[in-house]
Amino acid sequence: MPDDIVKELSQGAQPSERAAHPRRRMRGFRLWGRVLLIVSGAVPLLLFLTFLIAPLIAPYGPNTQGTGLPFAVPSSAHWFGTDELGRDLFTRVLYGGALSCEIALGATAIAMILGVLWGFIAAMRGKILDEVLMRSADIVMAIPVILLALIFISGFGANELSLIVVIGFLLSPSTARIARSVALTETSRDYYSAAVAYGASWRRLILREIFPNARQSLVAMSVINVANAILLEASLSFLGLGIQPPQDSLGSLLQEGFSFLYNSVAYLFFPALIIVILIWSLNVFADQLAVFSDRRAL
Amino acid sequence: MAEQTRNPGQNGEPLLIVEHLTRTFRVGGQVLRAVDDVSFEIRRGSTLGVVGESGSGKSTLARCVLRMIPFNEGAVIYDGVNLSTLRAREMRRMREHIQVVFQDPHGSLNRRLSVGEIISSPLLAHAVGDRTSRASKTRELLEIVGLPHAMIDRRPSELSGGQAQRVAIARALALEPEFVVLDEAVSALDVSVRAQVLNLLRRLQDDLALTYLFITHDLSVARYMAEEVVVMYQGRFVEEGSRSELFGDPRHPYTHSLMDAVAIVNPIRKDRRPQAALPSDVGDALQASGCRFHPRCPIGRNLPECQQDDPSATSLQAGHLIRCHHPQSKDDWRDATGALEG
Amino acid sequence: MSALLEVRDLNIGVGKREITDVVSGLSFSLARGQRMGFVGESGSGKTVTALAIIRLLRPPLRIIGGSILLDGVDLMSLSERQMNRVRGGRIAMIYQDPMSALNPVLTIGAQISEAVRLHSDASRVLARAQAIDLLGDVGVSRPSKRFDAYPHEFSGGMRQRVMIAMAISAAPEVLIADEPTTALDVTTQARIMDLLDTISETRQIATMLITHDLAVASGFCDDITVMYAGRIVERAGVRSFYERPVHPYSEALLGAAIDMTIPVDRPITTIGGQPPHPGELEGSCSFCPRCPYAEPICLERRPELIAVTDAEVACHFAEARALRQPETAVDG
Repeated sequence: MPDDIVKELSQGAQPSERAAHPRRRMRGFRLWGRVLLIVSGAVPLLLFLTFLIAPLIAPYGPNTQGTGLPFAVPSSAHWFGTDELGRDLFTRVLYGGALSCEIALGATAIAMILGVLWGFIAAMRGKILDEVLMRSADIVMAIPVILLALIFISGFGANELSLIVVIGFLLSPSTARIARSVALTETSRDYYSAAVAYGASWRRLILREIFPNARQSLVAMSVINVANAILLEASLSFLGLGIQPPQDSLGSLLQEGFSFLYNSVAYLFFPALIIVILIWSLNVFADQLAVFSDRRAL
Repeated sequence: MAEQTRNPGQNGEPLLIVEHLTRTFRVGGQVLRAVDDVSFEIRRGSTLGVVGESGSGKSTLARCVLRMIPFNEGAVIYDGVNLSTLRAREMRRMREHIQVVFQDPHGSLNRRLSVGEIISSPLLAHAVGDRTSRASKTRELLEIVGLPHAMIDRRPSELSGGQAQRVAIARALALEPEFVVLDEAVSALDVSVRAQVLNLLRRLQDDLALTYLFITHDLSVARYMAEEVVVMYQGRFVEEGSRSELFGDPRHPYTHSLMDAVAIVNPIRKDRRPQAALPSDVGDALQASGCRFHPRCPIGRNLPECQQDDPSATSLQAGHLIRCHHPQSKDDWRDATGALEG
Repeated sequence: MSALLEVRDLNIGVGKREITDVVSGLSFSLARGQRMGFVGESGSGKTVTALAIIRLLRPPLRIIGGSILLDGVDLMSLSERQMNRVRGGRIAMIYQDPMSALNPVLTIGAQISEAVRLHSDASRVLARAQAIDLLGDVGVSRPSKRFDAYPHEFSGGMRQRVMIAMAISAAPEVLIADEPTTALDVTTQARIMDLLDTISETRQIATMLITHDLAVASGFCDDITVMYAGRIVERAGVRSFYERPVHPYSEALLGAAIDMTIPVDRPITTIGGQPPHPGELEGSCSFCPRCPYAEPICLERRPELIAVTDAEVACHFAEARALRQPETAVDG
């Protein structure tokens, strides 16, 4: 281990001239960053897992009415209180969270597959194809989200699958942009040229040369995509363009909670809180991933 | 003194012929000629050295020869086959014969793969043999370049520069090529490691009957490695000749200034000549007329023919070509610049 | 001449709990205007030593012993703020890769001016004028125009000149040049070394030139210090070093150097093997495994640096070797 460091430092790695007050702050930073990384990664993970086992831990059914008085205040029987039909809000939030996460993960999968292919092909083929692909990405990004969602939903209906496809599609151009820039970086490196020089095929170049080196950026990108997908789902469902009753998602709960705001604050508060926690922690996690991979990077 | 040939049985036919190779870029409104009408031949088993500084186009030349970038005019003929006529699949097969080693030892290795995977990559890419035969070939290649078998599982980050470059060389040899392009292959290495790798390259050339295109900015290294040398300046060759001709009797002012600049490991040189010879660092590549070198040339700076006419190639003697209106012998140069030649 | 910079018994180690020595027992002194070359392979500790002198070592590397005296003042005893004044103001450093030392989003004029103002209370106008002067001093043509150019608009040689301008802007007494020409073309290399020559001469700046290129060192330095595995193995005046290297490593280094006079019909004499890892070979001579003259005693005891005619050498056979006739390197 020391060898690498010595080697790195004595092979002309450049120290920063701005080394003011180095030691103490550096150590503090590193520790804080690590804590942040773990916490911000653990929180969404715990939430996902909780939603996953929703049917097991939910105290009531999601649609069971009359489990308590309507708009009951949070209590030990109903942790989040009840809604207008006496259904337990905690249960509904659990099921809603599960559906939101399902949609987010599905959409992210689509966004990543579509976006990465889009970006890699643009980077590798270059010139005209690159222009065409990137301009179309620009076009998609310029179309208002709501409009696109409306068009899609009018054709395919407002349900889980539609949402997954629409959100996935909406997130793919920005993914493509990042994938393209990462691919461009790697294709400009000598090891890539070497692979071209010994006659590697396209498939080999993508899978073996570019992909493993792009992995870190792509992981960070997918985390951000999940966060964005959650936000998009919540927005679309809130506007009534997404999940419809009897299904629940965080967004649809938000909508209902909003309409009953004067009856029960908890109705709106808890779904909103979950959304905020999810998005915030995912973003911080992606950030810390980037910081840490930079530090370790060669 | 007779030129020592190392492969007496191999010489003769040229393996690589480059004719009037030209590659231009458009920068702003102007045309930049990165490689401008370069022609040469490399005989089987020998080494051609291409010497030039940054901006000379030598790396672009290498990539054109390897068909990694396209070129605008000219032809690259390998073993009688014009490479431009080949389709993608045929070119991929041709790549088994033509290999390359790049300058940055670590940059040319995929840091996510192990040494063994890197070396066997070309074999995989061309579906050569099966897993066992590839593994034994990899071990064989490690031996050839002087690395222990234990290296197979190491990562590039665990290697020194010299070791990494050896791995790059092993990879280049995996498909048993006949021709290897060495693009500044030792420039990024420590001087002591440089010597080791150069020795290795020469030994490999003898043992495996390889032909090299050796690109470098270091004249001393070119002199050691190459029997024939081409000096390039801003995309053109300015002087070309055999080792004894070029180093024994250089004629082009740029060649002279390169030789002046190369420090000899000897402190007596400390009281050496002024560098008044080249008034500025590498000049503008986009200048319009005349000899490319004239703005920096102590001889031709103010001569009308040098300012206006681009000199064409003339032959001083068999095999010694030059592009200059006023070639200078060593004595002429010394008088003209007050320089002390080593 | 009293020493301007004196390093005594410097020890630099790496690691958190277990500390391995990277540089051991390093001592040297630099007089005003003196030029000393530090040569050795990668990993010999040259760069780490330089960073230690200006206290830019980052964990897990740190100084674990010894002292560094500038004009009698121990730099280790200074506070960070005081050290900031020393850096650039009294000891300046230039690096191998000028691009990474220059901020790509600022004009070079802004960066040089910044350097000027860091060590003086010049106004912006005055700093600009000084910066333009400096650019002229380092050989940049049309300096007032170039002032507003960005680093990427310059060639490698030009950027190195800019870096030199920044380094000398506060009139330092010591300049540490870490492989300043390695990344440059041959003709540019020659001109940068000439520039360093002129500058160190006219401004009487003591220079520590770190390089693995013996040819460059030979043209510039008064004295050569050879480092191997974190220790000094030889120190001699430049002429006696090149004519009569004493330590086997010095001899091997000179033998492996490639210039226009080496014979082309045979392999270059090289040193086989690799330098040892830090911490290996504690109780013996670190060069022993690669030394063509090794004897049993070399494995048993570490040789101390002793003075022989014209040199200081760390070899058990130093005296005998120093008495040999000058010869070309042994064929390996």
